[in-house]
Amino acid sequence: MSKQNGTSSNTLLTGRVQVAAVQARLRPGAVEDNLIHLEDLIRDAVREHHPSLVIVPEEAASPAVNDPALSYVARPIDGAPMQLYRQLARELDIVVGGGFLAHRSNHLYSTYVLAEPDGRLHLHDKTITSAWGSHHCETGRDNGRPRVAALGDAPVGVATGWEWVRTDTARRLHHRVQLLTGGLCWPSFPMNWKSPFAPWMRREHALQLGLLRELPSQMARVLGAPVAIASQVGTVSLRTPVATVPWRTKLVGETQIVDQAGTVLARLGPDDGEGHIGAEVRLGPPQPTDPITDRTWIPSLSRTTRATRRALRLHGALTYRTKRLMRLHPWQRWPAADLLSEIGPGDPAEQPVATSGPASARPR
Amino acid sequence: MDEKCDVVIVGSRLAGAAAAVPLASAGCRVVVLDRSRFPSNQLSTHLLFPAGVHELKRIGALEGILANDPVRSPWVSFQVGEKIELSERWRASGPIDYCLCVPRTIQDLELVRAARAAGADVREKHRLVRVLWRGGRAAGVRYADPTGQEHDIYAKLVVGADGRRSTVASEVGAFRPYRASRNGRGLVFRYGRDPLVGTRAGRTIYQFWEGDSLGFLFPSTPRGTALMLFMGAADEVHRAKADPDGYWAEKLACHPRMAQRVEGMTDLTPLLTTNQTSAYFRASSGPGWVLIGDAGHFKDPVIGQGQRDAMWSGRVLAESVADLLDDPAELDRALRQWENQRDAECIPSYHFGNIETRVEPTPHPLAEIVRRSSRTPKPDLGDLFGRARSMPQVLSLPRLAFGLASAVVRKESDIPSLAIVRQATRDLRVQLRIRYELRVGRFRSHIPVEGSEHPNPQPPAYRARAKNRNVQPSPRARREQPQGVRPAPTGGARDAADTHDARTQEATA
Repeated sequence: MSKQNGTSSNTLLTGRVQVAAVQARLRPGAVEDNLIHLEDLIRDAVREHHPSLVIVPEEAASPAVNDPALSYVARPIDGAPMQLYRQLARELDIVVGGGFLAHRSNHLYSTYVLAEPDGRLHLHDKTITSAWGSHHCETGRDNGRPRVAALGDAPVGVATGWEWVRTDTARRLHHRVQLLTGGLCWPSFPMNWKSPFAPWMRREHALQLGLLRELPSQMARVLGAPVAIASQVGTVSLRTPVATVPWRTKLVGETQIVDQAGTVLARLGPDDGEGHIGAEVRLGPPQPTDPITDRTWIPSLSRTTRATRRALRLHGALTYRTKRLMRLHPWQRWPAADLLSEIGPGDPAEQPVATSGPASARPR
Repeated sequence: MDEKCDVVIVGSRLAGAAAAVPLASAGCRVVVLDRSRFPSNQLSTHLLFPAGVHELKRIGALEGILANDPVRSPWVSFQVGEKIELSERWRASGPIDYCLCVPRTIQDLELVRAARAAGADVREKHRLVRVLWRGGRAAGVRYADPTGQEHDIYAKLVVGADGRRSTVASEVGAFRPYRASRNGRGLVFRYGRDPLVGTRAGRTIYQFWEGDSLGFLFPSTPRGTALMLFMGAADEVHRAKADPDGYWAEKLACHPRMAQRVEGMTDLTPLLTTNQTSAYFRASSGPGWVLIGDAGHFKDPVIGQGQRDAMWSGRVLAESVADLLDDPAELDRALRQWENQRDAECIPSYHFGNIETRVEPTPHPLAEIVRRSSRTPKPDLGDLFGRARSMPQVLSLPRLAFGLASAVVRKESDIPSLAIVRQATRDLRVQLRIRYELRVGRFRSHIPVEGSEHPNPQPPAYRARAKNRNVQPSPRARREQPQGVRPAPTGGARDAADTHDARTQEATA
């Protein structure tokens, strides 16, 4: 991988990187089983694709949906999900990316980790909570574009959930990253609701499928950088807010690897079940072909989608904050600590540990 | 076929045995691995205050230890200079109102016996090779048996009780302490035969505070043996090694009361020394693993609390998790809460040790507190060591203020009152910072308490071993490894260090 002048103030690089993305079917609430399953999938993907970077979906310890079991899926920032990503990165000598609901200080975040083989860690907290995720976590504030030493110090953008569809994400990363990566856990509209809702819900579901199929290519063209996205698939049954009827639906994200022109190099759709894909992408100076519009969302979202998201987020944020104030979240029984969002290389025996106190004095 | 158990504990001494007994008694299948063959010695202060003896009783090891005829010491004597003397009884911890000082060869053997009696499978001469992981959790260990053959054993919980140079700590990534403080004092000690055996003096734990030097005498085991210990500045250890007799005579000359007490001692053993005693806290819990005893936390031996805290941490851990082993999430939460509880238990004595290890004369207010307390034989200052009360409880702010006022009014030394007040104000600030930390109760706080924690700590150094010994490098890694690259250092350096330790331990024996 060689260096050459880029379009931004940062030095950009050129080179080719083999990327693998894992599409996973995970059970809500079953954190330990899910992590074991993920480990198997990652090892399998590495055996087959020999990647330098392998990514798994966001919230991969458990799908973050509205389910009572979700109250118990958050783990400390240095808990088992982080250990899994960190250890596999070291052992397999690759960069491993994956997400989980992380307990950091006194909040939960949907955190996505890029773990490097030399012990470097890059953490990104989702900056916009999703419709369902707002029931479980707070929004983060970091810029999500770490430089990844194992990829030739390339600036890599990280996006999860609704960050993928938001124009602000494109602005945050525009001309600043050479690869965009991250994951999705995207429940669709209910499939079990009867008339008069059924046709409407079916239509919205079809729109979501199309929207998420096109999304990685759209983002690649807007950023002018290759994109790798990993999604959760399968069916889930959610608790519908302020209603008794359950919300049975599918997770509809796609797992794709796309080059900087938006061409799909490898793909798994929601109906393909779980598996993994691999492709080689070229890292180079960003060459956006599509403009960033003044709209809030990159794709065109239906009114129903926007209204549903707004209502669910309102309900979720109220629920999360009220329970937090009343200390009703089960994770609040865990002593709180945090890691820095950027951690340097180090010996595996002497990793920085999550501590409490001011971040400025935290182990790096 | 791989073996399975509920809990695998690495290390079968104080903390390991203390954890193994309640777990095995609760019906858990417990396997304990230890690289030593018992009886085996260990560098230690050897002293157990009533709370420590009580822990031995809880484990079920006390009867066996008492069978070795140790001296039970129900008295403690603090002697500050030549004028102040306080003698009081220890406050009872449960049914125990005496101290014991038992060589580790005897004590650790009884602990292993107790663990076996409770049903734990203790395997001697078994060495940990690595921790096994699954789904981000510690899932067991690989160990080498006495023949060197390696085996895997899977467990719901991996417990590291393998001391300051804990291999488990390095395997779980927690070897580097997140908080540490350098010791100011070194230990120089020897055993002798006590002519006062059978008298009250022969059943009293002595502390001699003379200038900036500390002297101790502990009636020991078997009856008639006593441990004599000086804690001067850490640098003095070099002098003690170079000229043992000269150093000993010099220390006795500046400790006339201790010289008087040890007069007539016979059968003196050679001097033993150590000055590598920086205190530290390591992250001690994680998914499926926990570090107990010195593996997770070590405090300055000047206050002799290490043994009690090791057993306490093992026992409390076992009681916290015995019913949760089948629920990984609840188990991990309980482990983290246990770590929080351990810190709350140990932070006051950690700071007490940091203060005591300062090489300074006894603060005047403290001397006055000792003087005033000497008017009654009831348990009081001994609680600092007996752990019946914490340092902030024993040295309350009104009491410190009273001590300062008395020191200024009495004015026995040549030091100006202003200097006494300045020093007391500095100490008071430290006490306030400690109280603030205890009140805030942060988890794994890495914020140093100024005045208590000393800079440039030297906790045990990690010596790299072969990286991921049984992990096959990825094809890419093999491809990209440059020709002629030598493998990472193997266990050689560490083994050499361990051999050195073993020699030290043999010397102690």
